[in-house]
Parts: sequence; C-alpha cells; structure tokens
Amino acid sequence: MLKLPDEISELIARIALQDRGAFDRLYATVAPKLYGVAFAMVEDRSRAEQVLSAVFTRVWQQADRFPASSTDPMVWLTVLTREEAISKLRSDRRPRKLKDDPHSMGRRHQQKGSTHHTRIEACLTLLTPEGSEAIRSAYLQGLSYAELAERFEMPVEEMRKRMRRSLHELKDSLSA
Amino acid sequence: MNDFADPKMDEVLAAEHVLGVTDATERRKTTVRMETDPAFAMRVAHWQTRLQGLNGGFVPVDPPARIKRTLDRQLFDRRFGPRGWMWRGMSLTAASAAVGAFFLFPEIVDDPSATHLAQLSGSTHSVELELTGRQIAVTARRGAIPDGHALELWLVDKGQPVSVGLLGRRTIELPRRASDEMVLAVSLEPGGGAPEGTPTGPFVAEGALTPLSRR
Repeated sequence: MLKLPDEISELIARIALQDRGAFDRLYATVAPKLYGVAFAMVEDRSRAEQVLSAVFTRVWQQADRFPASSTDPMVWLTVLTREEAISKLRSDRRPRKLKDDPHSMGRRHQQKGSTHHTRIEACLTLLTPEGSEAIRSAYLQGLSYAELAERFEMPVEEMRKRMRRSLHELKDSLSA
Repeated sequence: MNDFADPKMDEVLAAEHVLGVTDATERRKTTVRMETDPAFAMRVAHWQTRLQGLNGGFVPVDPPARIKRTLDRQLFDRRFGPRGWMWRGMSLTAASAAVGAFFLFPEIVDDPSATHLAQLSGSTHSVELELTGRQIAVTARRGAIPDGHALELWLVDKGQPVSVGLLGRRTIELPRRASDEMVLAVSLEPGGGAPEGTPTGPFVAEGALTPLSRR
C-alpha cells in the first residue's frame, strides 16, 4: 500500500464532503486491491467490474458512515467489497465452476499466508487442516456452505456443524 | 429453533455472516438484524476485525480503465449529450417515485443462450436484463412505479437516447446489434411510454451492457 491508513481515512473524510478530487485519489490508491478482492471472489471479469463499481458508488454515497476514529480504512473498504461480492454470488442463478481442489488450494494459501503473517494465520494452524481450509476458502473465495460441502464431499449440515465448531475454536484461540 | 436468544448462537451467526457462507435468505435475515440489533451488529464488527488478517491473501489486480469512466459518468455527469439534452440526475427521482408499490419481479428462467447482461441501477431503482442476440428479457426489477406510469428503456447513443421499449413482461428488441459497453438507461414515463420518442420523465437507472463469459 502506497498510502498510510491515516491518509486513506483523510481521503474518505473528504469524500464525505463530496470532494471529487479525493474520490479520484482514493480510487487510484485502493482500486487495484479492491478489484483483486472482487476478482478472487466472483472469478469473472464482468462481475468483478460490477462489484468494484458498486463499492465505489457506496463509498461516494456513504463515506460519512465510515467510523473514522477506530477503524482501519482498508478493513472497511474490504468489508464493503466482500459484501458486494457475496451478495452478487448468492443472487446469481448460475452455479459457478469451482476450479481448485482442497489440497492444491491449501498449499496456495499457505504460501501467501507465510508472507503475510498475522495472528489469525497462527490461530488457523491450530484447527484441523480441513477446518482452516474451509474458513480460508469461504473468506477468500466466497464459498457458500453448499459449495464447501461439495468441495469437502460431505452433507451441507455436516459442513455447517464442522464450520461452527471451527469458528468457536478460532474465537477461543484468538482471545487466548 | 430460537436463534435470537442464545448468545453462543448469535456469535456463530455473526461469524457466518462475515464469512458469507449462508444462502441469500439467511443472509437477508442477518443483514436485517445488524440494522435493528446493535449488540448483534457489534458481534459482526468483531468478527470483521478478527478475520481481517486474512486480507493479505487477496492479490491486487489492476482494474480496466473503463470502470472509472463509467463510475464518473454515473456519479458526476449531469449532462449526457452534446445537443443540449439534459441528464436529469437520478437523485431527483427519490421523491417522485415514493408512491406506488415496491416491486420485485419474479425471475424469468435463465436463458443459457444469453449473450449479454446489463445491470442498470440508480438510487431508487434497479433493472437486470439479459440479451440474446437483440432480444431483451427483464430478469429482475426493483423500485416503485407510481400508478399510471411505466419504465421505458433507452439506448444511449452518443449522448442521445433512442427508445427501446417499455419494460414489461413482454420481450423487447434492441434496435441495433449489441456491442460491448453499450449504455442503457431507464426512465419513468407516463403509462403508454414517452409520447414524442424523447424521454420526459426522470432517469432512474443506468448501466452498460456486458458480454457474458461462458466457460
């Protein structure tokens, strides 16, 4: 990231005052990251474009809702982008083709994880490999329970049960 | 099952909402709860913070330049054409469209031969269209239509709107071959459509045609 969180917060604050120059600068700064989020989740160029454009429309219209004091602006922007991507995925009538099998996926994410070492990465290693992989692929690719169940070859209800157990464990280890 | 009284269950529902694993119906429920139940909204916010460490797994990708151009046009351009035809601005419609029923069209069965998709949106209305050759089918529609009014679809060509037809249950035909990034707009008109072939009502939604990629 070229800009510090404070600078991005400042741009968002000015967008709330309908400063168009600030909007252009924010776009130039964060659009590649957010487009990367959208693209990883919807896996389709034209839908990723629709997601990005919905996100920036919301930023322009709802910048005053950004809770400036406590929140990292990139977290807020990523939340908006994931929300738009998920609602696009869930409202889509075309089932998507999932490309990766769980094993190759795991390796790919672990490599990325090692360069972005965070607390949650450490806590995820405490879960079962499947539990950790399910959380990652839901978060990074927007997989639904139905899609996860297909990938892990188990009934949806079993998937849900295991995911809920993993989430409890994750919360406990994060707050430990 | 009483999901709403159990803090442990709330915790799980908040985590599932942030992960995004639930289906559209469940997601709608948790979204409503976030807006009406501050304690639940707080749980969701905590999960957003907990999981943010995974954001490093998203790799930046340069977006195509046309996204910003389209955004600028949708958000800032009040004037759409060189010949004095004024883009009325979608914000004007919020008040005028406040009467009438809220519409959600039943979705028409997805046509596997569709070639293009258009998602037209404004602050009060949105319309989803599917194009097969030049045949346009409305697949979803949202927003109020006051009594005695109709939505009319326009192809915007070099700033000039060309009427395509009224949005209803009948299929309508695009007057020319679809091209990528063709701009479509929807205006609110009297029941029979704009009488003179030029829009008379406010524009309520706008968007570009995008080709469907088939795997």
